[in-house]
Amino acid sequence: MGDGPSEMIMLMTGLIVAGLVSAVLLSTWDTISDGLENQGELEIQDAKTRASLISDPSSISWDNTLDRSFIYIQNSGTISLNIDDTYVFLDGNAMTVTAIDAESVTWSKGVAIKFQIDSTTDLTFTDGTECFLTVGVSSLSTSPTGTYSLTEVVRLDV
Amino acid sequence: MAGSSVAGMIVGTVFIVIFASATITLIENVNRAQEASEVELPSPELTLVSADWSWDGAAGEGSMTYIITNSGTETVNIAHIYLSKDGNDPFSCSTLTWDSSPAIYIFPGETIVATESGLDASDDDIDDNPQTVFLAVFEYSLAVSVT
Repeated sequence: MGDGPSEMIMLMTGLIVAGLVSAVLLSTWDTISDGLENQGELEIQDAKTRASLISDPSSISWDNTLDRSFIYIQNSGTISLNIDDTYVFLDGNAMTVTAIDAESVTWSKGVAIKFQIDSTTDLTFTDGTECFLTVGVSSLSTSPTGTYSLTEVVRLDV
Repeated sequence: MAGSSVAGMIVGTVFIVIFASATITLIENVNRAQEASEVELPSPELTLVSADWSWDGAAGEGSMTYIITNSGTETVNIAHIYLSKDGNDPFSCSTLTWDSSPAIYIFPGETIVATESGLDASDDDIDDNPQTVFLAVFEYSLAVSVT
């Protein structure tokens, strides 16, 4: 009976310590779990988000006067894309992208969209110039947003 | 003494339940993260067997005959296949009239033929006598010389 109070104190101390350690562990565990969940969702969205160049890369038209070209991009993924989030770089230059005849921002699977790409700076290419074309797309779904970019060498037909 | 042991057991059991629940959630999220590698993207494989140009002098127009074989393992929607002649604007194969009707899909191993008529022989627009035809479907593409 004389050990009762000290035993109780030991028990309470043990419970408090165990509770504190458990709280820290569970918090860390929860953070790791949430991180994995978010990363997993993002990776799945990224994997489903794809686009490909449908225009013949060996002959991409380029207008030196208007600093303009037209390219066709197909949604080759398994989810819809957001047309307005498309970006293009031609030979390292950021281009202004305008979708032609697009009815909405929704870009369904398998559909090819014609884009007018304009340079805000004067770009002068010679006929047959070979350069890199980079196209980036984003998924329509934003929870989370899947992204994808493709880079291809293209030959300009000036 | 007995009371403290019971209390200890109850608290211990609660901790075990909480950690077990957290472990299950963690494992579920690990499995979910691995699903990204299991996403199957379209991977069609087609062969543009030939693109034949012919000229009808009497009618004054040319025509192109395309022969396409599905050499892959996936059924492909014809609307998703795009052709372009000499680097001009691609057009969906669904705009062509195929030898089988309705031709909506090309099944593995199947070969289909389409003729595009109303082309001219000059060199002034996209309907002139083309030299190459480029086929693209999703991330698969190829080009052939017109014969």
